[in-house]
Amino acid sequence: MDCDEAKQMLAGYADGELSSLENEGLAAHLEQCGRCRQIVHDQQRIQHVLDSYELPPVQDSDWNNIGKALKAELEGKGEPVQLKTRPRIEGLDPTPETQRPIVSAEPPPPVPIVREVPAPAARPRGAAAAARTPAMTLITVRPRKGRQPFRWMAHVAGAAAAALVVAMGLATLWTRAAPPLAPNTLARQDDVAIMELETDADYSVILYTGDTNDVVAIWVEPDESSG
Amino acid sequence: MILAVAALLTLSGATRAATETADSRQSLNVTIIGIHATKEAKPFIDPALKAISAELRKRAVGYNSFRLLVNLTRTVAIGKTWECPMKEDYARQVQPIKSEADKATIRLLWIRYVVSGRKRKAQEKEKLTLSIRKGKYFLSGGWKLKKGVLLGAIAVQ
Repeated sequence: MDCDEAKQMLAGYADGELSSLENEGLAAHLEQCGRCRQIVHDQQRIQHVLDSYELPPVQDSDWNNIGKALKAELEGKGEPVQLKTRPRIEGLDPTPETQRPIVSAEPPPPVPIVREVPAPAARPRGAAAAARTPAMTLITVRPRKGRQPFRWMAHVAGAAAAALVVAMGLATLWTRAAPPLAPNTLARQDDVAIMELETDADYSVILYTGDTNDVVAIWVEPDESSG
Repeated sequence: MILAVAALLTLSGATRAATETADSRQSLNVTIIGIHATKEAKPFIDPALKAISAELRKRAVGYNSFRLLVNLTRTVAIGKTWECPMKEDYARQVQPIKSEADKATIRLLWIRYVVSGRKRKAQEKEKLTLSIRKGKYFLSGGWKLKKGVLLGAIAVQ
């Protein structure tokens, strides 16, 4: 068995999934090949660390936010949820693969709302877990367009203010409007009481009063006698 | 929010009504109309005067054409005078004296400006004090112009 064949069986070997014949063949290769032995050793170490790692609990509110953001993303209304930093696990060096965002690779262009979710401070299991770097989850959620609460109130208030201004303007115009020129708006005898009358000496005055239904008027005629 | 706007409108209306009541005791909306009556081969009645053309013909006997010269409305305080120029140096002055619920007392003047030397002097052609029901037009006139006569109507509100 050469190294290429051995590498294809290493994962199954680490998981104990190989047959006894395959196990014997691979064991014989590992006794001879230090490089493959190292690979197996690394895989077993990773598996051990992963088995001992407990994911920080996620609050209900976090699930709600993630669920809403994912729903918005699926509906094309929002930006994807991003986990900028994955939990760091001692013994595993971060690689570009592990730093990659879970959902989307591209960060959103606008300034995001960043919410920090600290992991529990101490873990009771194992020395490696005790010395673990505090995990931090950064969730980026972009403000959703088209869902701005109370915005309609601003429109209603604006419309009401405009209506108020227009109504007051109309009221002002109405109160200042002249009475219409019509026969029923011409003053009749009951509408007018002459209290004092003086005229130029060159004119004669005719006071039309007539009967009750007649329009009252004062008419002047040039006095022919005055010359 | 809607309730707040409604309350604001009600308050505004109430305030305005109170203000108007107070204002109506201190000032009047006065409308002055000037009419030029002439005798023409082809009669002409200004569209604005069509409704009262029959009454105008009854008072300005012999005239068949009526043109609107002035139609102005101003708010005039009690005791103040508003002068409205008409035609050929004629003008009309109005001075509200008293305002009541449905009528008002006003002093009306027909004046004519004449040039005497370097001075322009106002001659009082007619002085009239009357009480009139608000919203009614009072007709007066007959002042001789180069062509035709001048008459006017005045109303207060």
